[in-house]
Amino acid sequence: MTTDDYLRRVARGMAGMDRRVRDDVLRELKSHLADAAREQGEAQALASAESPEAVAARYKEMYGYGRTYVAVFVAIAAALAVPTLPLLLYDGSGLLAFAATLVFLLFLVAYLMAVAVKAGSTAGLIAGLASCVSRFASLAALIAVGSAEVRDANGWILFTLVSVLLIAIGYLPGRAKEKWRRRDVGL
Amino acid sequence: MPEVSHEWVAELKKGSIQLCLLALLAGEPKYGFQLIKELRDLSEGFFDVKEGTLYPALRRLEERGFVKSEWVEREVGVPRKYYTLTVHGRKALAEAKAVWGDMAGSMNRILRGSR
Repeated sequence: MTTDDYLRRVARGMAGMDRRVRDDVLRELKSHLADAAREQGEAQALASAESPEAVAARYKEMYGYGRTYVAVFVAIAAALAVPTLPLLLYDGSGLLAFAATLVFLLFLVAYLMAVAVKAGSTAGLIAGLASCVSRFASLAALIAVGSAEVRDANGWILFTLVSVLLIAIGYLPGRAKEKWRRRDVGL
Repeated sequence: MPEVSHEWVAELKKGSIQLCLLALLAGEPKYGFQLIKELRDLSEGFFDVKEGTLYPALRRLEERGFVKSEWVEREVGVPRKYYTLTVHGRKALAEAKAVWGDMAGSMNRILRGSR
């Protein structure tokens, strides 16, 4: 393995991080390995270094995903929320439509939890908010074109409850992970 | 086989590393590899810190405003990132040293009693 190979593996492990931070980390590691290689030789410097995957994982845990990735996660959450509209509330819908809605809803819940755990509570919260807003916006659009109507107050309550619950589902798993994770105690 | 767990020793070291770094940076600006060597030499091998531990620790200190960093181009070789103690870091170092002194004194008194 050469220094370039090592840095390439660290870069791969930090995929999704903010590009500016990632480039700075790689530049500093390159500088460090050059200093170490001058003293011990490249092979020994790389042999005594931590595995590139472990180094990358530490930075990934420290910085999480960059804004671009979080924006993509949020956009996907908003898109996934559209087919979760409760079809039973509309005229002409049946049990099959309701079952399909539930499947989509479960899929969205799993997705939000995955975002919260992988990308952190803030990303999860924003994704949850986006899915909530997306549900209200989609319903409003359907009502505006006359394709849907909420039959009674219970329908509104259920719709609002599920939508707001998505925010909590996006936030809580990531928050729990952050809370219970062993953190380095600094000064 | 030692009676004391490796994890306990690792935690002790981890808890002390930031104070060590602030102390080493109290003089002139230093770069990462230099800090690793000084840590190892001054501690006679006790603090044998890897780059995967040192640089994140330095970044945390920088986020707290205790140190600041600057890339320095060199005529020969790759650029180096130098770390300097800030005024805020100097105050933190003084406070942490006082706490460390209290703890070391207390521990020594307790441990003397266990002989």
